[in-house]
This record gives sequence, structure tokens and C-alpha cells, in this order.
Amino acid sequence: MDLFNKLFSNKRIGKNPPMKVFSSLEKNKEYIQNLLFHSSDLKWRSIKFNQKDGLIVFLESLCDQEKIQNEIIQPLEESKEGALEEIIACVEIAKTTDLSRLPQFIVQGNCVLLFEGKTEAFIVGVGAEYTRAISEPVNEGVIRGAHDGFIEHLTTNLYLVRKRIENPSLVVRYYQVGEVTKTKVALLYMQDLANTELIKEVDQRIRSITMDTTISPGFIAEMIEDNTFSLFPQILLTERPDRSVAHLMEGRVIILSDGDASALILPVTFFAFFQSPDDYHGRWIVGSFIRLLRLVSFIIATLVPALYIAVVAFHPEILPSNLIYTVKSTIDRVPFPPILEALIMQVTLEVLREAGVRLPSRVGQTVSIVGGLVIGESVVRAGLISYPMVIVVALTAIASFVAPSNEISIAIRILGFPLMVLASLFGLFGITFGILFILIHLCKLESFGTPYFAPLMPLRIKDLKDTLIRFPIWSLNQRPHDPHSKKLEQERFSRGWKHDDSRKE
Amino acid sequence: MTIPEKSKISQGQLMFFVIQSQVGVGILSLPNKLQATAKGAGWISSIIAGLVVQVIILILWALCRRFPSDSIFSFLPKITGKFLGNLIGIAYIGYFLFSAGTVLSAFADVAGKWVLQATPRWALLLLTLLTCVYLVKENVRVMARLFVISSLTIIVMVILSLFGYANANYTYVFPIMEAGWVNIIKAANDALFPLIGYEVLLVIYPYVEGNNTGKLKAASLGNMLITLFYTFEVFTSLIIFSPGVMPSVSEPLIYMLKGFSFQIIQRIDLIFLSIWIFIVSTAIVSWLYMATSGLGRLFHRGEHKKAAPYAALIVFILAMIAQNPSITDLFDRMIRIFHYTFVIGLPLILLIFSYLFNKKEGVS
Amino acid sequence: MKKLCLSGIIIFVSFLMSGCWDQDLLRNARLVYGEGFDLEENGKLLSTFVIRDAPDSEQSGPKNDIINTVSNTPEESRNKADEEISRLLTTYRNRIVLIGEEMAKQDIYQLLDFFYRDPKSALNAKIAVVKGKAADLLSLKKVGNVLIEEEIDELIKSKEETTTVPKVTIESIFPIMKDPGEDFVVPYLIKSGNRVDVSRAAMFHNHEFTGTLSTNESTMFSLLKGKMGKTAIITQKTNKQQGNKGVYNYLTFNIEKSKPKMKVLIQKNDQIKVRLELKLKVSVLEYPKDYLNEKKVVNRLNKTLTKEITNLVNKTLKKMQKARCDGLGVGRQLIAFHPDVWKKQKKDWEHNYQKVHFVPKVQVEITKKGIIN
Repeated sequence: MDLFNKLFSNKRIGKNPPMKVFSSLEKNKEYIQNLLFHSSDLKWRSIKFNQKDGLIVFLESLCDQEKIQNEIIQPLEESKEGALEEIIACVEIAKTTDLSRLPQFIVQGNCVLLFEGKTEAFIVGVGAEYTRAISEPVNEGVIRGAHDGFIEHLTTNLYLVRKRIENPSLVVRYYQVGEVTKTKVALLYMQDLANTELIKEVDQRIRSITMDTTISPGFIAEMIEDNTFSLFPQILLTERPDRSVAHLMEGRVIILSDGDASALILPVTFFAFFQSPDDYHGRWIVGSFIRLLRLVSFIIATLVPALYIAVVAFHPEILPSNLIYTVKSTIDRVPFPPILEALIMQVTLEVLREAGVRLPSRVGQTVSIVGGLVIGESVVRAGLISYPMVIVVALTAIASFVAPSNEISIAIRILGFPLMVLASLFGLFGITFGILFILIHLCKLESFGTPYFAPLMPLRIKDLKDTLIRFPIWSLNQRPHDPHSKKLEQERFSRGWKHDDSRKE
Repeated sequence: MTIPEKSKISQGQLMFFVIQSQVGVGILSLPNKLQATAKGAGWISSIIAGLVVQVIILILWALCRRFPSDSIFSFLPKITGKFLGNLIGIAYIGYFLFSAGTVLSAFADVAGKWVLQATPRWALLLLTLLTCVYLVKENVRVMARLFVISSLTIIVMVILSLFGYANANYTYVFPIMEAGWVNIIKAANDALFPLIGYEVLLVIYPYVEGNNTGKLKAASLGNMLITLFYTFEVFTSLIIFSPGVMPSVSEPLIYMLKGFSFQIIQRIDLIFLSIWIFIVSTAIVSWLYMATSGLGRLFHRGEHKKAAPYAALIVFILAMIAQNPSITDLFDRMIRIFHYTFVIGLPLILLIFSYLFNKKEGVS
Repeated sequence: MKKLCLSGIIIFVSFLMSGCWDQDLLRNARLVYGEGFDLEENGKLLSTFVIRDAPDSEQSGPKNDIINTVSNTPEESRNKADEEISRLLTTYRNRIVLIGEEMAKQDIYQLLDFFYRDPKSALNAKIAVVKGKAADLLSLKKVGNVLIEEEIDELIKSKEETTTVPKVTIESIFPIMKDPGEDFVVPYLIKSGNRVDVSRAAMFHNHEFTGTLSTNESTMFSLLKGKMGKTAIITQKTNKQQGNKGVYNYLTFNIEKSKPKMKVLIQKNDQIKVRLELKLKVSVLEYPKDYLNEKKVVNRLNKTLTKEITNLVNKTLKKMQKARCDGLGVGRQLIAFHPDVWKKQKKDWEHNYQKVHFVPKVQVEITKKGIIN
């Protein structure tokens, strides 16, 4: 009973009251047709078995007709009598006497076998599967590492994860989310690593989703997130199995959804958005350098436009003599105040970026030339925008794309706007208050009980080994604290083969 | 009042809490004040003040130790009865709000002098208070996290001050005993006030995990670090500015930074003041928290975040009033009197009472 | 939820509507790069402002604009100048402050108070005294191909490196200004034809200009103070005999390391004796006369150089005493270590300083000699 609940759990039971299967085949067929509103792709095929007339009802769009042919019709034709369960070669087969649930089964890709005079219906799973090939996700490529990615089919995704962790403690739980769409959602975690409190919390939150449709994981993410008003995402979305598996092994939890290739990873900290599998495939010094670069780009992308406005409009005396003269000669002729310049350029950049995503690929080349030439060069030549402003905006844009996760990229760029406004009102003080505000917000944010800005706040020196820089793998003896996993030690003295004096001659 | 383990802060965080509550705006003008009375021995006054504060912390700790899971607002009624206890509690709230107001107004003065001359006072106060209220609404754990991070700015300040040693002239502090011990002790009295802030121990004592000695160690360590920091800054200012010029410079540290110039940026004092905002805000947040904790307990059934806007409003009005130098002086003197009563006098009396009548936690 | 939104909007709009009060747009600024102060005949102040402007097109270089105003105080003159030019006069990037000789003979603190009071002023500007009038020097506008203010600034900087002039800015003389026990020394500029000569120093006492030091003397002064630049090159005549041709009589050396020590001793009758020890390690740059690998030669040269340098030091100190300029800070030493003596002497410190007995002890040692002997 429990398993049944877990397999098909929903808060509200189907609207139809339970009804017994009719003995008459015609009545059953009519009932099913009515409930499916006489959909044109509802098909039936009559068979004869055990000297009785039977009907196979299925949706031709959802069922694999070959399967029906090979696994149901052929065995039934060959052995004209016997027990049905023993003859049918399908893997999933069930019996039911509740007529009202038959339409739901049919819509899920099963076919129903009805026999004249029998009040039992057989449900056989013959769903068709059209899956695309496993390929590297377009937006999350790495230079070195696995190049496979999740696809839209849930079972394949589960395969990709299970193949990497061949351990009985990897648990999968199914949910059906969305009242009407009944999307199949899977929750994965390591039983001996993940915190039980966390699992209970996630379970409770998923069960309380009472929306009609949940098409994308983005919906689910918004429903179970702690703070949807914050700019910062609290759930990591990824299409890469290796990333998901790495987080699983640290005690986190993954949610996979049928029909979408993204996996949700929770709980995550801010720094998880700046980690990429790339860091771990190369040497640790190189990985550390790149990671530091990413964090520095984050700071650059948020602060540089605001700093420029503060310096040029409020405190020009900060610049040394030769620099101030260079800057002044370039901005002398510009008619706008710096804040207006900055806003115009940033908005233009966002428009360009968005257009670049929507364009058909053939037009893409033209637009990039137009964007670069027109916006960059001509606007400056006409004296509408100054050169330093263009440089600042370009630098900001590039720096914001360095973050491996798309959500943080956009968050960074949007974060720059209020800082610019504050800079234009109060100068450098405004920026500092803005930064303080953001820091307070980051301190407050908690994702499923773990502080968002760990391990900087609260400060844990041990966890810093894998945050700002990456220490060698053999020195990361403990798992990070923030998912509060049950087992903290993850390795011990893996380089035990190294001795003081070499045994070789 | 029991507090779940989850919302407690560690002792290290307590130390940073104390550090951030103590460092406000007073340090900026401290060398000037000390030099006026104690001449070259100003730094000795600072050390003496630190020792005095240590003694006061001991008194406060002894009092809090009797009631380990109560903050001052909840154990006051236990010692002196409900009515008197709540009345004294309200007086404490008033003192905390007043302190917050003076810190805020001092900050607005410095900012208005050095950076934002034309911005009206209310705009700056509003900006600061908005940010502070945003933090005060949270529980102690969140505040402690931010306090730890903003302590980094103190390290930045130390590093920046080290640049001054290039032009230092050590003869400015000699003769050390020029002012005599009497003046040095008098100046120590002046140095006591930039160090206040450790009263936060009274309010967050129950939120700290661990045993009593650990808490005392954390608070004392915090105080010691800050005393060292202040002494260092006072000493640096004394050797950079000659005794003749110090009276005309009321914020020696910032003035010293103003003269530096690096290759790419000049006007380091501006950068320094912008970073200083972190420290001032945390001090204001600490005072506000002390006040709202009491207000919340008295009026809002323990929810201190509802009291935050009202407290902020009172502080805003206080800081707006303090625009003339005469009113600022008045506030200064009032703070001194309040400090002696509420932080030294009252706890001592309460401690004696609690021993006399054997009022402790667990004893009715 | 609604309350939050509403209050947020009110705050935001109130900020925006009121505007940005402290804005100081770089676009609207006319940058002053140099200032000069002179004394007019009727006792008023003649101020000169050198403004650097942006070029018309990208190809041409920057241009200068010189404004002269007459008024009572520096601040008033600044306001007057602001009225004469378009946009706003801003002085936060000022590089040099030049004071004419006559003006410097009166108290210069009255001119500089404004610099110290303004939070936006450039405290790292160089300060110097000009022979004649600063306005004349600044009216050169250009020296060669370089604008005048940049030329002077760079010249002073490079002379500081060669220890020809002392390294001072407005900021560094501020503590010394109000200190009764020390006086400051600043560079002294002379207009020679179309160029600027920066090689001397001007001595001050009680903020008044009291005398000048020649090039070598000013180098000595910096060495005695312990503030040496990167190099300090002196050409000294070593051979007093006749007969040898020109360059053979001279030795040019560079002072590599100098360690000065000053000790103030009080003798009977409150006579102040100051013992100055100066150990110089030098490297020879030019000496065609002899070989330097013989110990005898080196020792002889050491003795000669020691004598000459001692003479130079004595000359410098005498000049300073005559100008009543306590550049080495003898008074400060008294205040710090002999306060009772200072109490007695401070009333008439000017004349008491002239009675101080300086005893220099110089020791020159040749350590390097280049790649030939």
C-alpha cells in the first residue's frame, strides 16, 4: 500500500468515483470512449482467447504497435487458452476491477485487455519511447570530461546516474507532480549520506505542489525554493550527469523530471554556481586559478559600471593626474550624464544578447557585425557615448558570462543596475551601502537549512579548500559541511604508496 | 526563555560580535582627544581604558553567569520584581537607542565633512538605517555571520595605517611623561567611550553556546584585540602628526590617508571611509538589536523584528536633532552619565542584590 | 507584502526626485594643474591658475590656459577666477603650488590654510618658492614641448631622485608647520631664459622664507636629514696643484649609502652642542687621474673627500644658522629629550639656535669604482 502510494502519489484522488468493470464488452468500450471524449486516436482490436471475445484498447499515439503485436497478440494467438498473465510476454502487467481508473492507465501508455463476461481488466504496459541520442548539453560544454548529458526521457536519465554510482544506497523515489499533466518526477539521494531531515523536507515540499501543470523543472524549483524574491538562485539546474553525481556524493539531493533534460540539485551554496567539472580534470593549480578568475569576474561584472559612474560623476579626484586627463578628454563632448550613458549601453547590451539567442543561425553573423560596428564604433564617433563607457560595458558583459551557470549570469547583470543607481545618487558611499545590502541578503538566504554563503559565512576554514581555490583531491579529507551529510570523511591518505625513500634502486 | 541549539552562535562569533559592537566612529577622533590631555602618552591612556573595560566585562559576566539562559530583559524582573524590572528594562532600551543615535549622528557628521557635503542629513541617515534595519530583523546567527566578514575591514585599516610609518617621526611622542599620570588617567576616561559596545554581552549571553568560562574568554579576547587596535592607531597618529598640528586635525587617521597617493588611485581616505561604512553599520546594528530585543520582549511577545521599524524611527529622530555642535556635546555628556549608571553602576548593584537574595537561575 | 512594496516605492521615488546632491561631474570641471601666488605692490595677492584643457580633436595635444586674478586671499582669488572661465574651476588635481619670493618672505601658512581645510584638495602637490614672481614663471606656458605645470612637476620629481632638492609636498610640511622645534626646506625655482632651473633649496623659519641653499648644499641637507633619493652625485675638486689639465683635477662620485646620526648634548651654561655623524659610502664615477686599486690612493682620496665634504657640511650648517632655519630639528630633540632646557630657550629660540655649536664628523669611504680601476 505504501509502495503504491509512493509510486502514484497525489493529494487528490481522481475525480471519478470508483466503478466496477462491466461484464458486457460493449458497455466497457462505451464507457472508456466517453471518458476519453471519443478521441480519434483511441483504437481497439478484437481478439479471441479462452473462447471468449476480447478487446485490446489503446491509444495509437502512445503505444508501440510492434510491442502489442509481438508481446500480446502473437502469444495469445499461439496459445488459444490458458492464464493470461503467463502467456503475455510483457514486463508490466496488472489487473484491476476499477473501471474509472482505466482511462488514466490508457493515457499513460498502457493498453487495456477486456474480455466478454469477465469483470477484470488487464493493464499491460506497451508504451512507445522516442528518445533522442545522448549528447553533450549545448550550454554546459567542458573542455575535458564526460560529454554525455541528460535527455528528456526519465528512465534514461536514471540510467546515466545509476551507471555512475553502482551502489545499493542510491535511492530513487517517484512522484507525480501536476494535477492535470501528472508529470513523473524522480527524487534521487544516497541513503547513507544525505541528511534525513533534508529528505523529509524535500519530500514534504514536493507533495504540497498543487498546480495543474508543471511543465519544466523551473516550476518545481519555484515551488519548493525558500525565497523566490531573491535574485540569487537557490537550486542549481544542470544537464550534466557527472555534475549531478558529484553533488549526490556530497550528500545533496537531485530531482529529475520526465520531459525535461534538466536536473535540480539542492541544497546548494553560492559557490556551487561557480564550480565546473573542468576544474577537477586538470591540475589543481590551474583549476584554482580558473576558479579564482570566475569569482573575480563576478565582482568585476557587478561593480565596474557602478564604480565608473561613482568616479566620473562624484569623485574624479581619485584618478591620478595623467589618467584623469585622458578620461576627461574622452568624455568632454558627451551630452549625457554618466548614469544615463551607462543605462543606455547596458540596456542595449541586454537587447543584443536576447536577440542573439532568438536569431536563426544564418542571420546571426549579420547581427553580430551590426551590433559591434553600429553600437560600438559609430555611437562613440557620433559623440553620444564615450569610449571608456563602451569599454566598461563590454568588460562587464564578458565578465558576467564567465559563470558556469546561466541563472547566476543573469543575476549578476541585473545586480549591476541597482548598484549603478545608488552610485549615481551617493557616489562611492552608495556603492558600499549597496554591497552591504547584498551581503546581508546573502547572509540571510538559506537553502533548505544550509546557509547560502557558506563557507564564507559562517566561516569554516576547512570547507574553503574547495571553494575559492581547489586544493588537490587527496587533501580534501572531509565532505563540505553545508548539506549536513551523515558521513563527513570521504577519503583518507589516498597517496599511501608514496614513501620517504624510494624502494626502487 | 530557552533557545534552541540551532539558533545559537559559537564563541568565536561572540568574539566578533563584541569586536564589531565596540568599533564605531569614536576611533577616528580618539587620537585627537587623547593628545589634548595626555600629550605623548595618549597610547598609554588607551591601554588603561582597555584594562578598565576588561574589569567591567568581568562584572557583566558575573551577573550574566547567574542567569545563563536569560538576557538582561528577562532576568531583571527576576531580581527586582516585575514592575521595577520592566521599568529598568525600558531605561536600558532608552540607553541603547540613545547610543545608536549618537553613533549614527557621529557618522553622519564625519561623512558630511569628508565625503558628502551637499547631501542632506536625512538622506544619509535614511540610507544607513534602511540597511541596518534590513539586518536587525534577522536572528542572531545571521547577524553574527555578517559581523565575522566585516571584521576583515579592520585588517584593511591596520594595513593602510602601516603605510604611514614611512614618514613617521618618533620624537613626537617624547617626552612621554610630559603630561603626568593624572592627565593620563583623565585621558583614559576619554578613551573609555569609544570602547563601549561590550554591553551587548548582556543581551546575547543566552544565545551563545558553550560554558560560562568560554564566553568570558571570547568576550575578553574581543576586547583585548580592540584595545590593541585602538592603541596602535593612537600611536600611529601621534608619531605622524606633531603636537602642534594635532589640535587642528580632528580625524588624524583619515587625514593621514589623504596624503598618500599610489600609482592608480589617490584619495585613499575616500576608499577607507567607504569601507568604514561596514564597521559603523555593524555597530549601529548591534545597538539597534539590543534595543529591539528588549522592545520585542516587552511589547511584541518576543518577536523583535516587529519592533525594528519603531526603534529605527526613534534613532533617526535622535540623529536628526544632533546637528549643532552644542547638542552633540550635550549628547556626549549624557552618554557618559548613562554609561556609568547603566553599564557600571546598575550591573554592580544587581550583582550584589542577586548574591544577597540568592536570586539565580533555577531558584525562584 | 503590499506594505513592503509601497514603502519601497516611496523610498525609491523620494530618493530619485530629490536628485543627486553631491555630484561633481568630470565633464563640468576645468582642471587646475598649477597655482602660483605673488605679492602685489599694494599688498594684495596675485594668483595665477594654470588650467589644462582637453584638445579639440584626438590628434592634437593638450593646451594650457592661464588666468591671473588679484584679491585678498587665495579662496577669494579662486572664486574670482571661477567667474572668469566657463564651467567649474576644480583644484583637486593640482600638481604644483608656487610662491613668489616676496610673498614667501611673509608667512606662507596664511596661503596654505585653504589647502588643508578643503577635503577635496590635492595634498600631494609639490610646493616651491620662485625667484622673482611665480606669475612670470608660469606665463612661460610651455617649456620645449611640455606644458609648464607638467614640466615643473616632473623636474622637481626627478631632482628629488637625485637628491638635489628635498622631497616635500604640502602634506609633508603640514606637521612641521605648527611645530616650534623644526623648520622646513622646499625647492627653489629660477627662471633661466625659457627654461626652469630646479637646483636649489629655500629655507624657512616660522613659515617665512629666510634664505637659499646652493645645489651641493641642498644635497648635503637632504643627506643630513637622512632622506636621500636614489642617487646623489657630486663632482669635487681633488687636486689643488696647478699643472694638470681640467678634468684630471676632479673626481665625480655617487653616494650609495648614507647613515646620519644626530646627538644633542647639553654642556655647561646650557650651551647646546650637536654632534652630527655622517658615514658615506660612495662609488667613483669619474676619476681619470689615478688608478684606484692601490690602497694608498684610495686612502688618500678618502681623506681628501672627507675634508671637502666636511667643509661643505660646515658651510651648509652655517648658512642654515644664519637663516635661522632649524631644518634638522634640533628644537624637536630638545622638546623630546631635554624639556627643561627647551623651556628656558624657547622664547628666543631664533637667536638661541644661532648659538648652537654644530660638530660634524664626516667619514667618506670609496667602495665601488666601476669596471675599470
